[in-house]
Amino acid sequence: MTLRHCLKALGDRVVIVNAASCFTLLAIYPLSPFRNSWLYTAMASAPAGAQGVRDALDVLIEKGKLDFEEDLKVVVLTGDGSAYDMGLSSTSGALYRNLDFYYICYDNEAYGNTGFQESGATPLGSKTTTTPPGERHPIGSELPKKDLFEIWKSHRPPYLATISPAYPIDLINKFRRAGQHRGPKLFISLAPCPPGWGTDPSRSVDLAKLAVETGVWALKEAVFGEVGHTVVPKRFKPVEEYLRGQGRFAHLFRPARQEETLREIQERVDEYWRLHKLLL
Amino acid sequence: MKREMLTGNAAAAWGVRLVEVDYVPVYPITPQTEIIETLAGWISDGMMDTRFVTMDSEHSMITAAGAASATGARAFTATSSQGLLYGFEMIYTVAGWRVPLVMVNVSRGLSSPITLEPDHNDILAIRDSGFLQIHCETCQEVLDSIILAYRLAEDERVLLPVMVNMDGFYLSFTREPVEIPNLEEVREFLPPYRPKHAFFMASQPMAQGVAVLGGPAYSYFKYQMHLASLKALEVYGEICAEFEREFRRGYGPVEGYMLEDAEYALVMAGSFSTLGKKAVKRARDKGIRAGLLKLRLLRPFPEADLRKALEGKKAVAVLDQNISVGKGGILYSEVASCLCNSKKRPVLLSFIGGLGGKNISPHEFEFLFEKMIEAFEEGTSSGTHLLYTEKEWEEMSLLKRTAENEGKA
Amino acid sequence: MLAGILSEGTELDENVKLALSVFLAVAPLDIKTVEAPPEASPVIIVPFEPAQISSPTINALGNSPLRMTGNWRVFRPVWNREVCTKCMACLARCPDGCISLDEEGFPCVDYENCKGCLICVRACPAEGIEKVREAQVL
Repeated sequence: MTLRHCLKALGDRVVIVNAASCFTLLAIYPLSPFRNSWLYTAMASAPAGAQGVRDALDVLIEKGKLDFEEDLKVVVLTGDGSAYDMGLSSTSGALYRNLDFYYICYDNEAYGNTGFQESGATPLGSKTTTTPPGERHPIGSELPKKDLFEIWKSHRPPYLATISPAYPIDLINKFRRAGQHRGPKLFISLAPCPPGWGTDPSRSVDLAKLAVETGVWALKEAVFGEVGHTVVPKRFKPVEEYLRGQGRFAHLFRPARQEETLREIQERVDEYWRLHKLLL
Repeated sequence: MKREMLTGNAAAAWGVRLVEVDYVPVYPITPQTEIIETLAGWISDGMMDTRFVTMDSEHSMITAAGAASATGARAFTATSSQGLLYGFEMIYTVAGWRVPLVMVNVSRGLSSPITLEPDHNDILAIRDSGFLQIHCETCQEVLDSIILAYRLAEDERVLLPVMVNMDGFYLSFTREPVEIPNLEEVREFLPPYRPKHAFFMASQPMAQGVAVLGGPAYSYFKYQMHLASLKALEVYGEICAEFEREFRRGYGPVEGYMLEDAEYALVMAGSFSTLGKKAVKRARDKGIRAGLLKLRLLRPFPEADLRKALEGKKAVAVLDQNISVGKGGILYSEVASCLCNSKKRPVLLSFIGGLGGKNISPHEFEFLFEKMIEAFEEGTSSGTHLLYTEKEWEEMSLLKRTAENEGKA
Repeated sequence: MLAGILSEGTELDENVKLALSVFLAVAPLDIKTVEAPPEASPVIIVPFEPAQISSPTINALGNSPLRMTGNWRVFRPVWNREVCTKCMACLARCPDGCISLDEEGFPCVDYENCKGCLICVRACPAEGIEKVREAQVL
């Protein structure tokens, strides 16, 4: 759904450069759901592929080998495994070179395509198939989620934002604002994954909304490193409301409540908002 | 046309300059770096109208080069050894895209132990990827092969990437007299790249590199790459004939040296062939009817040429500058497979030499010819023999003693 | 064995009861195996085709709906036109993009491609979309 909104905001003159993710299976020979162009590269190097396509279009147009009417926007589309882990080097390179491209990261907080294993995007306390809660390791994932927003922000790209499928207008507005800049324009979308999260598909939008209302998923943007929050709940709902409905966090509640972990998760969220002076 | 003293790396850069590439993404690695430094200088001085970008790794570099090629630009990049292995995944990927990227690999032994001097395990690691492979012996060959490579890769019957290989240090840093063709002549030989099968433009959207599910589709695409590679043998013959008419230098898929009337043939590839040719000459002086076959094309493998050249010889020794650990020489297996059904099959011998740039002395070649004669008389041969001298063993012993490793076992 | 996982005894009993009822609801049937006849298609020599034909590219874009994926569905969304306010919330939220508007401006769905995720059912502010089971088990 986010992808559909993103593509709507970007228009038809787009080439998507994809890294190994669930989306790779969208274009399976001989069928493609896209009306725009597409190039599957590899898990680690979609931003490098974008560099090659962008540079080639520029140089071909410059040399008069291609009409400028034929120009395309270059859009990288990857999952969190590629964005948070394996593709960091090529992303950092593209940001450093100020490549004129869009990057949309679909963050379902684990390696979803391979059956939901822990990734750098997996939050504290999440059950994944490689962090099964057990007697010795009762909380599931013991590491907090990497802050990809801050990693990307440290490169000072012209535009960087988080988005959510539950806030389509926020999303469209952000794409509009991003479009005014040349250089890297980056988006991280929280992407509920029903089989991995242990939730009913019909609740995906509700969950994405709850993530924002509880403060777990901060909707924000950074223009040349200046951060602004675009949706701030008037009163934050307790994080538990978001966690409780999801199979991947069920072990934090049953058979016994893991108070310390629940408190830590809530505390990390509060700390974030206090840091930004949006929670007193 | 002008004549200059050029290193192998400078000759490669000249080849790239003459084909007027649009795009060069790079990443430094010894001993290839001089190629990209030379290009960077020319581009900075405005002598080449080319976009140049330093990437964050070889994996990214090959992705960017392949993606530019898939967009419709003429792209070039170069690497060596560990760099080729770091970008290995993309070698297969780019070949599967069916785009005519040309790369240079400057061969260097693979880690570990990490080293600098050449052998062919790096380039042979990508043997099965779909990249065509041209192996060079001289600096002139390097320059000419790059021009040939683009013509071959961009031919509509082929459309596979090409790797031009030269040996690190021995060729990359050795100056030889090289004829540099005129730009106009090269333009005449190599028309601009105008892809019909793979490009990106707004008016004709296209999905490239898409997934397939199921064996029949996968088999189809892979086998078509194989057929296109075989087709490249035929195309290579045509374009080499044309190249020879235009530039008066000819390159077959294999090159024979004193081979026609030879009874004992040595098979080699790369710059060490020059040592082999000298050894053949010396053997002839001693009355041994020796000859040498140099493999220039390794993919596609010129099976018919090889069979024609080697059938009926008394013995053939393949001198591999590589080692398939647990099997032996890689080219030995390849040569053997194309002679095994021949009725006039010579006795075949397998030698390994020049690993990590180790010199092959005249005495080692003499030993090799003696073994060939012996094998012919006995009618058989077995095993792989590493060319290694007693002196080298003694020196190695000294090193082991210094490392305090000797006498431990 | 389940006792450690399910804290409430009654929950365990309920589950066992439910599982048993499902087990009993399935009528036993004889399974006969028949060896499939060997495929009669002859082995061919695959001909060379140039890259313009044989590269893995797709020129016919946007053709995915040709592959019908609606048979994944367990529940089907059904619109109640009397309640529908034509607000298009369902259309905006459909992850598959298979909801469109008909001539009268009412949403209509491509059932050949709707996977039955029911996000539209929850998105409808007028509660005008009903979920209907595809096949009823007797």
